[in-house]
Amino acid sequence: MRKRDMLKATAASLAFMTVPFVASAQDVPYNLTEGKPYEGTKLNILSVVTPQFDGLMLRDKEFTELTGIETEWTFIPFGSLQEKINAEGIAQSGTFDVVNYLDSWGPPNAHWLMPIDDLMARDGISMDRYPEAFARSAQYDGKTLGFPLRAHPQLLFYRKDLIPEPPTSWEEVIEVGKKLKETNPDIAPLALYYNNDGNRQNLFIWLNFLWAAGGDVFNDDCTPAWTSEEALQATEDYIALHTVHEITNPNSVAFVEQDARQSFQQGNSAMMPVWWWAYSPMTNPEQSVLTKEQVGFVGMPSYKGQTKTYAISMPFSISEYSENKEAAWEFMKWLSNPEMDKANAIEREVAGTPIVNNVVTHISSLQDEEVNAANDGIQAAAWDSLKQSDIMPQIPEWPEVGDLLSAAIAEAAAGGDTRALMTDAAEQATRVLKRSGCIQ
Amino acid sequence: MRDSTLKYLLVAPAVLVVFATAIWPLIESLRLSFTVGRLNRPDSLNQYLGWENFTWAFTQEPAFWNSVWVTAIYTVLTVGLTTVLALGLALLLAPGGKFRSGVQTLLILPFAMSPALIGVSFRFMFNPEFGLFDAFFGVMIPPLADVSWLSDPVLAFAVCVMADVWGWIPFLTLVLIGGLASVPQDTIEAAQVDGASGWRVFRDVTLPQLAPVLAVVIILKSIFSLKTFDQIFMLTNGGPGTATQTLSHYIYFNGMKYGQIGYAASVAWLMVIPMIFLTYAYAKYVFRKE
Repeated sequence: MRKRDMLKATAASLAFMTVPFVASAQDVPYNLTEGKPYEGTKLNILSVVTPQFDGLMLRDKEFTELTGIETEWTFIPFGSLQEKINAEGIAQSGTFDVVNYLDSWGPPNAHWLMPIDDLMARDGISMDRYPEAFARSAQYDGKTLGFPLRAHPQLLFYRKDLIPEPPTSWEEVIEVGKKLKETNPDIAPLALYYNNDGNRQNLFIWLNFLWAAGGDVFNDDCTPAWTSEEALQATEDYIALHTVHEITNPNSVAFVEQDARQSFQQGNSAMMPVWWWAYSPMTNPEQSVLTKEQVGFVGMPSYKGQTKTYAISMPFSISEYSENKEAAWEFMKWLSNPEMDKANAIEREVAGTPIVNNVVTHISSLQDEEVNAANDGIQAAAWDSLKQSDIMPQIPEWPEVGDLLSAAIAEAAAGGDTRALMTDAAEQATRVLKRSGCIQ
Repeated sequence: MRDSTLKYLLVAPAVLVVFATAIWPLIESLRLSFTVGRLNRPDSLNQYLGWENFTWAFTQEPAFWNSVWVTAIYTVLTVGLTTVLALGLALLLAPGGKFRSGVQTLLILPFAMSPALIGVSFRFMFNPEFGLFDAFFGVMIPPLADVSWLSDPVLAFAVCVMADVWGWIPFLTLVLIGGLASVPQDTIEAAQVDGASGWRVFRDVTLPQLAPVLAVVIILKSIFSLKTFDQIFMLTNGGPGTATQTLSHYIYFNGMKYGQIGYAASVAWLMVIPMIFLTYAYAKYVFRKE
């Protein structure tokens, strides 16, 4: 044995003997492993840009103090994240130990996202702590691939100063919208986003119509289900908000979600169905002309008497290619702990930096009085919305099939024949799904 | 060491770099084009299926033909408009004058901008609620006040063409000013002495002598138009629907978004065919022997 190896072995033995003493000297929270066994490890985290994760990153000094593990965060804008995630999977380099991705990208990348079921069982963590839709969004093929750290239900935001009684159904949205056009012609009643931007945002509200009508995206045999009569009718009704009833902002065909939100925030539109996180920017004076007194929110409107909303999440997973999987798991436990989930929605400043965030993912936080009090009760409304939520289809071919649908809906909103476009999209999707083997 | 050995040694590093960054990726993409090549199934990267990816593109993918059509129209329009406008500007600027150097410096600016930045800028400028161009067109041409440029398939395509022409005119203008400077002044003066009108001088004297430069300009612009990606990606991302989806954008989406790297590689190789012809023509003109 060389001198350096001997020194290493001695140091390791000393460290091993010291563990019980260190462990006994501290009470390690969040199911973290006692004794800092991974001290000195540096984890690379790939995350989307969002104030919520800024808040988490700014708190990670606590994680380093508890575990001795250092973290290095790399933030990528959402528009570029899918390519980055795919590139990580191709490179198989393990550059990032923990990665953050959109739930519907999970299935195509499942081959390199590490299942954590055994680790969860070992450390007494259950996915039951999340609403069902959030939990399912981080699972694929019977395995849990990560924790849904950033997850969103849909809500209908509206101008309280213009709409005294918020609509509860899409029929009422049309009614309120038509009245608004007469009383406030300078403000568009509803900001929608029909543009296909590559992120399939124009499917978000469409899914509400589709599911509430009893339709679905796929049949059990993987064939497209959106050409059933009820599904086509639901799609036509969704498009008709713009083309027939004309209650949408005239620019909704060009809008992506961000444009529609800007329109609402700048006071140009009076209603907008969108993720709950939008409440923070909508009431932030630096980003919006509206005040909290002007912005109200309710659950998503029903369609034909039924409500089924779409929920989305951005899970964090451990890369199979990571050389620090155990340390990464320590990070995941800390990152997803319910105390921090709650603190991140209550505290408005972290490490001297202002943070505005209302997003929580634990059921306990959604129902927490303190969290609700700090965020005008939006978590309670979200919890209601989540009780009848579903997620995007979890199949590897979804990005391609979703884009076909997204393009069809964009063209329909621009004046195309909805039925013909959706039928054509189904034919193209069938070819794609047959080729991939999803349709046998 | 003999000179003949030394020269190979000196060139070797550059050859190695070119091989690693260009030749090897080309060979690997050609290999991938004959595989199933799905990123979600790593084993499929070595699963060969012959010419199926190529036949699939031709027979089963309307989106492929749509992107071929969009690329063809886009190339014809951008090359035609850019060349004509650049030639006009070059003719205006070629005689010189006190503002020429200032104008030439200003002309560099659009070309110095990255295509992605041009795409983002035009997207903002055509934003229906706060876009500068949108408002400008609305004021100047009232019927266009309520037009949502980027949501209409034809207008969105027109905006893409507009952005590309705007970005490329300066460079081509400068090239053509150089070309005009090389046209012998005595031939023009001889025609003028013979009483030829300005138009006749341009058509029968200047243009024929400028033809080799024009050919280079047209071929070069065609190559860049055929492979347009970043500007489209940032400006319309191929939409609305697939109205502005060029072939490069189609390849990118199939490869990077849908994980079908084998299929994307095969379409990329299909795109190489016109490129080879254009590159050959370009090389022929640039390296021609008088």
